[in-house]
Amino acid sequence: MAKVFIDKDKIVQGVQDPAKKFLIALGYAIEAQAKRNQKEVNYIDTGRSMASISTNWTGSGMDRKAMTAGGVAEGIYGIGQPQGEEFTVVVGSNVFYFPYIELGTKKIRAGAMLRNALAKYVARIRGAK
Amino acid sequence: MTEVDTAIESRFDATSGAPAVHNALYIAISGKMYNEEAPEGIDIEKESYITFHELNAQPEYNFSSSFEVVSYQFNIFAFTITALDSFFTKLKDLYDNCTLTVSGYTSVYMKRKQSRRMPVENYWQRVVEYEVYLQKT
Repeated sequence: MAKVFIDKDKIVQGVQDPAKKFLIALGYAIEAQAKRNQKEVNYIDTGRSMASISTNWTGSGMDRKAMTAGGVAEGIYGIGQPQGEEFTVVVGSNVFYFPYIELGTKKIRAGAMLRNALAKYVARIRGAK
Repeated sequence: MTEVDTAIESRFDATSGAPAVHNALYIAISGKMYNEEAPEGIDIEKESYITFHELNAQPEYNFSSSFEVVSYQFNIFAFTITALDSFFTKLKDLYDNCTLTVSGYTSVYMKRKQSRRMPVENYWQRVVEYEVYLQKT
């Protein structure tokens, strides 16, 4: 059995399909792990990028905007709603410099917060009996 | 995993033929591929080079064997897209679906998962991710 910690309070009440509910809960679990990973690698200055790691899904109604270089935070932080007809859950950040700390540059080692969080949960699901 | 670090380096450094000749990637990047970070003495503002490091390792089991699935990331740094693409092609030639010689393990495969090209300040970088699948001997 895969162990996935589900924070039921965070699941939008409007979602009825159990499969969709599971995917959303999984998204939140990966988000939480990614934030723990960011603390672990100690890539925190103002906390802006960590706060921006978020979960969204098709039909959530949370139409957030991407933040550009020098942009001012408006409304809530977070990744935008995925487009298209297929139900999709996304976990990510809308802060413009996030790819650089996730993937690294010449000056900083890749933090791999999101990818390691995803790998952890993929391994748990793979190990489900 | 140190064993995989060593195996990746050995494949990069390997020579063949007589007289001994390095592979195309080694020649193109002048041997500048480093584990974790570029060493002191490398002018990171002016030189192209590659770094690689482990992202994560996950154990896997079946009825009779133990495996390790290890993710690795290569960062290729260059000053033009043309050079970046050339290094990337040679990296793929060297590592895509290759068999690594890993101490204590049988290398099952090294599979490229994803890559992304991005501009950074005055240079370009490509991030390439591989999955190395190992079976314990």
